[in-house]
Amino acid sequence: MSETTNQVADNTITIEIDGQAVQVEKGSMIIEAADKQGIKIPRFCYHKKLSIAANCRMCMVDVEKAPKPLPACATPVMDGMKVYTKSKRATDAQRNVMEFLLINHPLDCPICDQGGECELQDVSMGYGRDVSRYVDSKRVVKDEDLGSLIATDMTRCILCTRCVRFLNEIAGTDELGGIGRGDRTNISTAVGNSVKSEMSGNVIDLCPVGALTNKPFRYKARAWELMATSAISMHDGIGSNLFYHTRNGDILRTVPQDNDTINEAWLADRDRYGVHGLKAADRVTEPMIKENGQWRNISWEDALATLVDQFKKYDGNDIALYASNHASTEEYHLLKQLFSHLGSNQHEHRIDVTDFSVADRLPRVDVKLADVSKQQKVIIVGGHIRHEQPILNHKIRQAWLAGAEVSSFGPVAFEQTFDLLHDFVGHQVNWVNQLASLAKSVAEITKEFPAGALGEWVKAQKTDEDINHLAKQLLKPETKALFVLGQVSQSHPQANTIKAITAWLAQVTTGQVNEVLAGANYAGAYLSGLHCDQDIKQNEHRMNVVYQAELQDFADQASIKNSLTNSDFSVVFNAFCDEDLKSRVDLILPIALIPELTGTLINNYGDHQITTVAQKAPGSTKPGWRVLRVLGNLMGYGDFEYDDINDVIAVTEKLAWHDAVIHQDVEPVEIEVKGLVLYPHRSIYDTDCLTRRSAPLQNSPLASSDSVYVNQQDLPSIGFNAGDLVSVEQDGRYAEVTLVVSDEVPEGSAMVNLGRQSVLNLDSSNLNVSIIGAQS
Amino acid sequence: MPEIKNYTMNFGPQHPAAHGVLRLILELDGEVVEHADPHVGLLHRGTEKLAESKPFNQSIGYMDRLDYVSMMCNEHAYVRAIEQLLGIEAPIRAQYIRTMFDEITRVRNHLMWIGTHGLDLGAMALFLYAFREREQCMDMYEAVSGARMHATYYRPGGVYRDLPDHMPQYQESKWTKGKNLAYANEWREGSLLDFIDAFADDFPSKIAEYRTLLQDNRIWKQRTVGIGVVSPEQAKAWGFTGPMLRGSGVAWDLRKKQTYAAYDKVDFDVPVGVNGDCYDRYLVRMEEMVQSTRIIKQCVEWLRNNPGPVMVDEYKVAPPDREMMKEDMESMIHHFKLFTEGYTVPAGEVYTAVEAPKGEFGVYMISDDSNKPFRLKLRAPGFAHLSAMNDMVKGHMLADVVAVIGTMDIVFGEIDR
Amino acid sequence: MTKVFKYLKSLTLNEIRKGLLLTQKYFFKRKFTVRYPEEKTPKSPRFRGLHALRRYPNGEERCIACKLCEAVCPAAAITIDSDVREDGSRRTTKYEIDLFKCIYCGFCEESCPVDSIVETDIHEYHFESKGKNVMTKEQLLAIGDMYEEQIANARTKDAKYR
Repeated sequence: MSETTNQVADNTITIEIDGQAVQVEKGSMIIEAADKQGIKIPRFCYHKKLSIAANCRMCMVDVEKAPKPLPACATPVMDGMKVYTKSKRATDAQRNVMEFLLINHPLDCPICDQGGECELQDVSMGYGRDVSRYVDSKRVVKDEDLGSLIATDMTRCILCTRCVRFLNEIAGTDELGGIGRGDRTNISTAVGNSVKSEMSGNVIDLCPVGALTNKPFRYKARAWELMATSAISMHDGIGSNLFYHTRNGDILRTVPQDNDTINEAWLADRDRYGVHGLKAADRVTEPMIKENGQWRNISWEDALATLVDQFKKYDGNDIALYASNHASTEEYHLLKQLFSHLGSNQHEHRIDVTDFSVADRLPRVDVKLADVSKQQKVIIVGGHIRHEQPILNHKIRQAWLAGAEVSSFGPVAFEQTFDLLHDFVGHQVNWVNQLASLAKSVAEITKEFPAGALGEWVKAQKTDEDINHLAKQLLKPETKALFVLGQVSQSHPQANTIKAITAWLAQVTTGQVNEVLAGANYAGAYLSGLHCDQDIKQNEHRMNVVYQAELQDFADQASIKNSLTNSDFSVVFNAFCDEDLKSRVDLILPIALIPELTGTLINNYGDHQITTVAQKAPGSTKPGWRVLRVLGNLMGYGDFEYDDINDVIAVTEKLAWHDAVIHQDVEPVEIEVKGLVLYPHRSIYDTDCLTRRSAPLQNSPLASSDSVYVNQQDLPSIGFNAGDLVSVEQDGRYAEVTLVVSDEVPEGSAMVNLGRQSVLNLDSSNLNVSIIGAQS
Repeated sequence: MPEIKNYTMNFGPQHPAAHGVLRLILELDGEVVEHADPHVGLLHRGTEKLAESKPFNQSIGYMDRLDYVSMMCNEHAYVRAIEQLLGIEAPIRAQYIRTMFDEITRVRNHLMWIGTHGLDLGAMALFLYAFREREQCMDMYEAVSGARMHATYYRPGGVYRDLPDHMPQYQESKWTKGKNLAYANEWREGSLLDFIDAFADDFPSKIAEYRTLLQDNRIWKQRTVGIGVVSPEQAKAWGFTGPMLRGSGVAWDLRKKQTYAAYDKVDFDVPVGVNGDCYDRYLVRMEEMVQSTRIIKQCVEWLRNNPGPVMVDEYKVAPPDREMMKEDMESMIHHFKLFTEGYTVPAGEVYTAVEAPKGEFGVYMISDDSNKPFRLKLRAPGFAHLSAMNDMVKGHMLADVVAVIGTMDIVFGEIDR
Repeated sequence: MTKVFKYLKSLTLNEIRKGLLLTQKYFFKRKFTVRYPEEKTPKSPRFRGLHALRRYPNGEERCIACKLCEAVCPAAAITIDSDVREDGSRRTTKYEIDLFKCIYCGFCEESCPVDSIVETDIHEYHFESKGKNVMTKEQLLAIGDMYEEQIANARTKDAKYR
């Protein structure tokens, strides 16, 4: 400890700002020292998470002995430096810069969405002149169309380049840049392009003026009318901290909440715009029952009484529960409690999983999210991290920027925001074999093979030069690798084999493993015990309970459709119910979604976070925990006496992440391939009921389409041309989609977008598909 | 002999002589008041608390509604508090305008008082005469601010707009035409200052008329002389201010003692009473109206000869004028920010008081360097006066309670706040 | 001696007679009152009465939903909902003034950057049922249309002081 203290002491120097002594790190800038001390220096282009541009010149300060005022954001501190932020020279410089900035700024305040939360207004009030001396005409800049998420008024731009730097440095997409020179400079996309980054919404927060604003929020409200509610995102396992901004009880927009260990200052577009799905037309607001094929609204009393009757009718294991991964931990806990009383172990939250060959799949997360950016070697095993957990991708990119080597195994040559050392792409069977051959290559060097059947299987693989190179890299003792098991691995039919190989590789190369889990609260559901040691879809049940899940959330959609159709009674607890689900269930109970309730979410990395209610759920919709609690009472169970949510939280807060057990005794199965190999891809905006219904997200360039993607090489054997309407056939079931040729998809693979209604007839566990003519 | 118990009765809150919503619990022994217990709070609107929730400027309108017969004086105390915290001073012309309108307000207030006080004590005609003159004062308010009562005219840093150079005139009608119309518009041909000047010239003769009606009238004297006598010591001890204090012979007037606005530049006298009874307070107030007229005359004279700005030239506090706002970026931003967030007042606390018609109206304000007052406390003169109700009416007849209420010049807007 | 004199003087009822003479004088004097409602007292161009929303000469509503009036209203009497109109411009979808809440301070007119919300010199209006005290956007625009000339005149007269 003392050693580190000394180090810190060596590393700090003392400077004086406005007469106050400040201890700062060597090499930091004056503005950081001032921020640390709470001394305000006006700024536009400086942002603590972005590189220094020093192009707005607003942060001019007076430094003793310097001949001119210096920009505080780009002047490194020096021992004994004396800085004055309020001297005449400093304030004159600031006032003059402000005057220049306003020369070309349009008089848009009354119609500008930024009005009231505008840094330009604030700084002008605080540091600028009160009257303009400029009388000539102002410049006008042609507007950009940046898609359905970001509204633009480029004339208002003050060229701080925060957006450019964000997209370059954080999002890694280089989609915006400065074009032109002098007073004709403007921020623009490359001709005709729009911004496609999955984190693009952050430029709205970064923009100090009203040039980039939130499009769905456009003209809806003023900053001073909004109430902020601190909440947690429900769209991925990151658990991004955010604020919902509400006006008259309606969520109008979402902004990030700083949390340096989780989402820093950023928010993925999914988290920012997901809430716009809350008001979709198929929202269920009253309990509904199907009688003689007709739906009618009933009261909660009648609905719950019906449900109690049904529960009492069947034996415990005749009742199955399918829960999604984006409900609160409290709901999972109460569901588990209910099913324990019912005597059923047929409950499963892993509805996106197809491989149940290992009973207890405790997820393995060795590295905390904040530490991912410190890794020196990252191997992505089956995952499109950019779309699965955008913030995790950002951390991997940070690691890559710091010099880490990133390699990937997967079914598609996904577009990444970093360069890959090796990108092993193959169809769903192929890339797993490549992973196994990496194990073989490593084993050949270390002369030690995995034990049992796994070892035999690994031995059977062929290696090549690239694999051997990666194996050598992995075995370098000075760098530990982080294996990131993406969603593609998690829902792969050979998921347990992949995990076993990865675990073995990590063990041999002293590496670490992080699994990317589905949904916002996989951990909460898992720790509550809502899993079963078998694939419960294979069992026949007389009653089904679907909890906050839709058919699109399942991996095996054809199978679940069958299960629901073949049971006597099915009840769905959800906020939405589309026709596909409606036709297969008998009772719908409307429950609130995460933005409408208070509860705990446990993220991928084991952090318990409490989200609070931002908006009242519509109609008679109730928070799920309340419904389950009353259900428990009606069933006559004694341990459902919770007075409020805090009583349930008191139980769930004790759930703790524990170390995973590594299973290596798997039996790898060689999957026989005939024709094309299916790859059901879960696209970024098809993850849950809200993203699927959010109009801004669905209209954005990243939204998925009803298509099947194949490689150019496969076209002759398929016999159709790109753009044709075709059917993807699987076991006599068809999914009608458009044929698209893509270079990213490897030979022999057929990629469809899971989560779209068009592919509801396909099972993810069955890899064999063929493409035939349209059936309708 | 049977024992006779004291009789307890409610006076108000709906009694016509209760001046609003005063509720007095009177304990009577026959017709003699043994105890009077004023109950307040029926007009409580939480002005002080309300002001903590909105930017400084937005509460100016609520100051009008405190003592709602002397609106601009309340505003004056409030804007002075803000000005002192901000460290700005209104331009000299604004100071004169404020002085003039403070005195117009005093005249208005005393006219209201003499009218209702007379009415309470049985002098019907006076009420009509007093309200006729009060109407002229209302027209002055309207001409300058657009509202006949709740002006919202004073602003931190000056006053909202300069005095208009036109007075609105009566239109010809079936009944008012020719000579009659000329008579009605006699004072209205020129600017507002001309109107005020004409009023100030004419008003002393009107005061003489009121005196004719009351001064020597035996009924009036019977109702006021020797009623509610307050000694100077008691008046000071009870926190009396204004005519209530001066009626007892204490020459205390903030306009002289802690001068503000342009009071140090105008010439006037402070009348004081001798006996401290209702009649002396009547005399003091009548003389105050005469003195106010003197001040108004001097202000009119000065204002005619000294055009200039009426608002500080500082857009960080006062919004820029409309023309600038529409074509100048800096002005646009300042306009926008001032009307949404308002300005920030440096941390500190201040107590400012003005000599309102009823006494010392004070504003105690704490700012915590934000755009809203952290705390606002209003000192209403009427509250201190009403507190002495029991002592002033004890031993008097029931009918004298009305005279004492009248002499206190009670207005519940300020007492209940 | 003065006591006796005063007593004797009081018997003459002199001060009562002087008062009666004064009131008698006014009995014959020109009347000060006006015959409302046929006749009205003059109103200042600054008068702050019933609100109106104005239009541009081409018929386009002036209001751009900047919400400054809503923000500055001390009584929170103004309620505005805004949205994007089909032509992409910023407009109100709801503009309501609760006249029971309004304190007629005139701040809304002062704040309006486009001279849309104004306080006219209309002060004679009434409501006949509950809820009518809330003036809708349509009503306010209708008042503006009906009295535009009057409103514009008053603004012109006072222009140099604004």
